[in-house]
Amino acid sequence: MKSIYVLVVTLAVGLMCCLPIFLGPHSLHIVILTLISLIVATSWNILLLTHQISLGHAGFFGVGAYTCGALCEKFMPIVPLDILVGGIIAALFAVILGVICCRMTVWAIAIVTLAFAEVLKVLVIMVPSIADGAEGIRVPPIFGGVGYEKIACFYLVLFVSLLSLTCAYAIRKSKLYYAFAAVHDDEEAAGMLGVNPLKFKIIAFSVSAFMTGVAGGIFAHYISFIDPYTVFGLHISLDAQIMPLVGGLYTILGPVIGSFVLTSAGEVFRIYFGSGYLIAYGCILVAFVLFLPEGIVGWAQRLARR
Amino acid sequence: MENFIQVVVNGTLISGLYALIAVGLTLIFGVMRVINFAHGEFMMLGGYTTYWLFVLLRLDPLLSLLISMVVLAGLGLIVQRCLINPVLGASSLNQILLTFGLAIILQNVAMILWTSDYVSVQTWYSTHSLRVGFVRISVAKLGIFFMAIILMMLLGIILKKTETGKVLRAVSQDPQTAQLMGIDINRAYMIAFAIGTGLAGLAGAATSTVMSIFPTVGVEFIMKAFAIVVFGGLGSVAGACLASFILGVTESLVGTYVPGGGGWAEAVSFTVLILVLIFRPKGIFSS
Amino acid sequence: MKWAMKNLTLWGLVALLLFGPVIPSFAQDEIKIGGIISLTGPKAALGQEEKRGYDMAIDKINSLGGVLQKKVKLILEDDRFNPSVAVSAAEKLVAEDKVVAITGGYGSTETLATLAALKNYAPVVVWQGAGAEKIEKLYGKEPWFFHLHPWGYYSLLDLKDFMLTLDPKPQSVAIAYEDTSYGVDYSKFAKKFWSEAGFKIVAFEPFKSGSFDYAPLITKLKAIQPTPDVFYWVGYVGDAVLLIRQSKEMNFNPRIFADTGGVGFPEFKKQLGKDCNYVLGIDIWSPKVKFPTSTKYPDLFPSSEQWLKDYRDRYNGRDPNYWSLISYVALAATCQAIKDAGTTEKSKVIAALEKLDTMTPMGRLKFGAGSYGSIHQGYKQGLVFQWQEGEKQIVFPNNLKTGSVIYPTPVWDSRH
Repeated sequence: MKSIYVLVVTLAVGLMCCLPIFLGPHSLHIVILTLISLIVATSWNILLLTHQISLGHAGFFGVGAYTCGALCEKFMPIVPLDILVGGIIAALFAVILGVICCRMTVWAIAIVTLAFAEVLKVLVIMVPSIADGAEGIRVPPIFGGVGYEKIACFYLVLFVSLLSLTCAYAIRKSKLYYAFAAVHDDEEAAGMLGVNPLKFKIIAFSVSAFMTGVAGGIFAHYISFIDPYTVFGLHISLDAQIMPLVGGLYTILGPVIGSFVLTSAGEVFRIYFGSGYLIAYGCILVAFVLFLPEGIVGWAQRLARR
Repeated sequence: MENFIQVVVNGTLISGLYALIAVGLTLIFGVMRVINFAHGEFMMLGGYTTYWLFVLLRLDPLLSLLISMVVLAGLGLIVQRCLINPVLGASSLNQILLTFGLAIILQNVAMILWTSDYVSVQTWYSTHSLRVGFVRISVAKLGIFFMAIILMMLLGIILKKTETGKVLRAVSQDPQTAQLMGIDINRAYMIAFAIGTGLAGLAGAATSTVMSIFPTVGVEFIMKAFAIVVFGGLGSVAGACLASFILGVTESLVGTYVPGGGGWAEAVSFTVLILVLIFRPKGIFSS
Repeated sequence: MKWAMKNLTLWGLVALLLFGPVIPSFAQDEIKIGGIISLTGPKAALGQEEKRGYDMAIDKINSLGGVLQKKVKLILEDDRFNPSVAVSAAEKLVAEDKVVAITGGYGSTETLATLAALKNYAPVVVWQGAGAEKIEKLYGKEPWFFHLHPWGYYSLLDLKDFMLTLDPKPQSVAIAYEDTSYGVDYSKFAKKFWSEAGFKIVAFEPFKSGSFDYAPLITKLKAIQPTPDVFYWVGYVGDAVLLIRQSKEMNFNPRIFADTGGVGFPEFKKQLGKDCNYVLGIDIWSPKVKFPTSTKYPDLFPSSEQWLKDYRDRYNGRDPNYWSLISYVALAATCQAIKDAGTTEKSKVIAALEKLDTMTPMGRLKFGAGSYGSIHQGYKQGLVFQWQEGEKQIVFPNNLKTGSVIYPTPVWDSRH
């Protein structure tokens, strides 16, 4: 059984690696954006393991993106080191947030994180000396911007998203997962069993934020122009949770399937429905929550069990 | 000094509108434990109802305010029955997602039906203002403010004194026990949701008279409403009213006295929100 | 086995969703031109204006026999007023639809993102929107980039020249701007040009775009003593309507109300009624200014009166905003250049666009140099107008005047 999984994963990764041969630049562009949101969705899902719902992943994403923008514009382009720096700064923010959130209810955490992203957005807009404020900032492309930039970017994003999935898998297989699960189910009981909820909540927060920050940095370099409304936008935070939900919460495969299904569905609707496509998108969401709340992975598992 | 009074008056007047929206949100949360992301869209629909009644039937907003409220309460009932009820037992995440999906649908349907043009209802009192010394007070906003106060008091009385109010409070405190006591919990949910959406519809109608309505207008308000609801303590009606007042005045003060205030006002309300959640996680008015 | 089948179906569905958009459409015998505008999202009202202009242009061109004996097909992409969607739309147009040229634009942020993506392909771009100077600095020198809308700073130079003609000369200016790249860009130049011209800037305040309460801002401006002579703001229609309403409510009486964006829209008047009077704005086109029929292309570029009549006939008497017209011109000029070039080859189309020199319903179109380094700038002139009796009267420049300015603006309490 296990060997089948290994085979499937290898095949899938192999197929992904060959994608640039089949796909035109536009489709490749969509796949790159999908992979970026996959990283964010995966990291959001890791945070969920400790029963913390974030509505503010756009905050971490924006921090990553703007670290790259500001470093390259104001100091010097140190690609790809700046992407890592962005991730680390995002993780530092997460530690602070984690300490703030540790004693809060799920709803309070959701709203604090939402406010956190908004405050950061306003800060970037109102303090133009950070990175040109609302006007936005240009970010140099990672690979020099000519010829094979897009394909190179694709492999970079693919690599990073595989890393993030591996990270999620490693967490699942490690002791960390049991600690997370204990915190998720009953914090007090976990504390009594010698699992320090604060410590594990902060770990989950910072791992999640680091990955999201890295995704933001890559996004900034790839799109090569960022502005506060885009990278701190609510849609990033929402995508981060919609994708795992559609795919399947608490699973590793969930965010993967969710991000691909939703992005492709969005594109298909955009092409076939024109300006009304968002209605269709909303309907999918509602339909999933009502009829398939366990997500695609959960549904498949249920079918398999039968 | 005169200026300061004007600033406080500005903030107070706008807080009536905030309260209408936030109280609906907090009531729904209190009773059903659901945060309704589509609340702003109900408000938007209320605004359009008033607008179209005005355009088609020349109905004065004072009258159509009530019609909007009833229409939206009815719509709320349908939504509650068909969409919200099935996910009541599900995780909070599913509820966030469901109401968010609903918000997207409503926004875009409105966009297709009525385009994204800004519309508003023009009456003689829309921009009329009273002069009290140096201070100017908008008639329409004053009217909305008093209407909000009366409604809040009415709601308070309903919650405190009537049978229905007692049922709602019982359910919000402990749904399981309430059910064991023979309370029809579904009915309580329906009432709470209808009151909430009705208030949002009313707020929208008011907005269309003093400001403008457009398909995404709800998004502008919902973020503030969240802040207020948390600030006042989730589920607390009185808390939401007080929080609306404090937030309205704070925003007005920051907007006027801080350089670049218009840009900062939003961040300040959220910063206050974060601080409150850190130091008084149950809201500032909890004992 | 059953499990495998079901799983296969599932993965098949996923694959279909994933690769569905990639299935190539069969090439037809037509010339494809791309358009990127905001059909949905917060600025959709503008995108719809642009679309009306496009629709009119495409019908006109095809009724004139198309281009190079082929029909012209406009492929419209919705950028949702979102940069990353704009990038994706641009990529699709160039790489998949293989369009000959791309038109579009309104917002500066989306434009900057779009151009960053297009730079790698360098297709012919005839861009009708976005006036931020950052765009000119970064892309103005690109040979493939043609820009129609006057850069933002031209409007502020026009307003400055206009203000200098007023008697008595205004002394102080209060500037408010929405906190977007558009607001920041315009306000920056307003501050620069106007303080250089000797006006005193007494307030420089950002506000959140799409706010619903401007009372704090107005209270703040009102507290400035003496009252600022000029209140200039940069915002969208909704902002303009609320700012005027709340100025009235609070009896804020500068001598001039001026804006370079929202006040030009018909919605501004529709929502304010009488209160729209005396507000100044800048249009780059007005139905009141008559331009003759083009001598070279009389069918494509009729006189401004004829164009206006066609537009009203087509859209049930609706009055156009200049965004309809500039989109019409962008598409029509692009098609004409392809016709003139006799080929869809990029370098020849660019050469034809550079050679283009014609009267249009918006005035003479000839691409030339801009002030901050761009090489292909279309229009430059702005028309300062004032709302008078519910109509826009052009008050500057003097040779195009249709009325004289009412100055100072009557105080609110004296209006009925």
